[in-house]
Amino acid sequence: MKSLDIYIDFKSPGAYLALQPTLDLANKLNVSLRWFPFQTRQRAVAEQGVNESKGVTHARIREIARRNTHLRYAQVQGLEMDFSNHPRETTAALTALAMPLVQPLKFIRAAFQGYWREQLDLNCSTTVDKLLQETGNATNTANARMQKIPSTSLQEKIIDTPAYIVAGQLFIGREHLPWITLLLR
Amino acid sequence: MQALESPSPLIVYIDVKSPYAFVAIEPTLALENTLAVQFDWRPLTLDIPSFLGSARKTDDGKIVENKRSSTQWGAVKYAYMDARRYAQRQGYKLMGTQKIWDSSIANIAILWVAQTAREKMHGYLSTVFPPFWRRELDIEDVNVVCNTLESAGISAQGFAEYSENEGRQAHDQLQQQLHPANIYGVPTYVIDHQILFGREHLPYVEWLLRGKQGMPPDIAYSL
Repeated sequence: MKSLDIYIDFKSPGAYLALQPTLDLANKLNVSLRWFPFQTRQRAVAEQGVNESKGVTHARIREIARRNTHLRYAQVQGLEMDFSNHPRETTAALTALAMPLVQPLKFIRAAFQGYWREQLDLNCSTTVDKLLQETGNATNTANARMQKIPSTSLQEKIIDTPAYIVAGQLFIGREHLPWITLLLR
Repeated sequence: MQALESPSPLIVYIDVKSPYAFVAIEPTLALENTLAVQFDWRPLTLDIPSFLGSARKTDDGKIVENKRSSTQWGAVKYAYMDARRYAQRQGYKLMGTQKIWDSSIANIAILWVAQTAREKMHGYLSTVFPPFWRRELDIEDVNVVCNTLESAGISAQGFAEYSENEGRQAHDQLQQQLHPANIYGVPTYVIDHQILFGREHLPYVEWLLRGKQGMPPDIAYSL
């Protein structure tokens, strides 16, 4: 069975919106998915300054546009997405994802839903441990036994998530799924 | 010219010096042909140093000037690698630029074509983008842009003057409107005041232009 490596962060709106399309692709092509954590840096939408530079204006407008775009496609997918308290740190949940989980997909779904719909604090070990238990993963972050994350030169080039590594190529974003499909076929 | 207004159903903002605009040209032209409508192609001349820092390289890739952070370099390198592989799929060569070009003259030519020979827009875009990305065109030289227009079968008579006067004014006036209208990058598609940045939105743009038939599609790059 072919496999596809995917790097995610729960606070990444792009990763959240990529979850179902990626699962659909894996089911369709009978591909196994390997999930890995990647800490992204998300930006809050800045308040408009009085004399802001062109660069600051650009960044502010870009962030607003990104948010609107994500909301548009969340609607397309029928997903709820609450940006009111975004971004928040997700380190504890990413630590959990780095562990060898029995039910990784159940945990991933619950963590994404927790962040984007229920405002869960995924930086809190207690919250994440509870999520692990509820999703059938009999472990906790205090006993973190990291699985081996493949170290490749491509991994070092990841700048955002979802990041897919397939056939020696790095693709960032679900907009690449048509090409990834071709490579997996 | 108003940033979000057009008699055409779709406004397309592009910049000759953007690799992402380059790889968007072919699928956008294909959509224009398929739908048999004329899009309103317009210039957005990016001020790249203001948001991605600046750098200059020699022909062999050696960096001789660097005002970029490691994060900015990571983003730039990925963007070029990504655009290059899609360009290759389209049959084009995309070489990294050695400097940040002033693309305003080549972009003003988009306005010129729209005004004087709209039916040849496809020809101009196909004549300016591929050679520029093979490092064969000095788009800062108005004579080179005139020759490019002529190569595309478009009269360049009066273009040099236009690029300094009327065309320059129209270009600059448009650029000043873009940030306030929430337009910041290329390619940007504007349809009924909806602003969509990136060619990954072309399936959604097509769905809108076809009257929202069926379920709306997700983002995707066409192959």
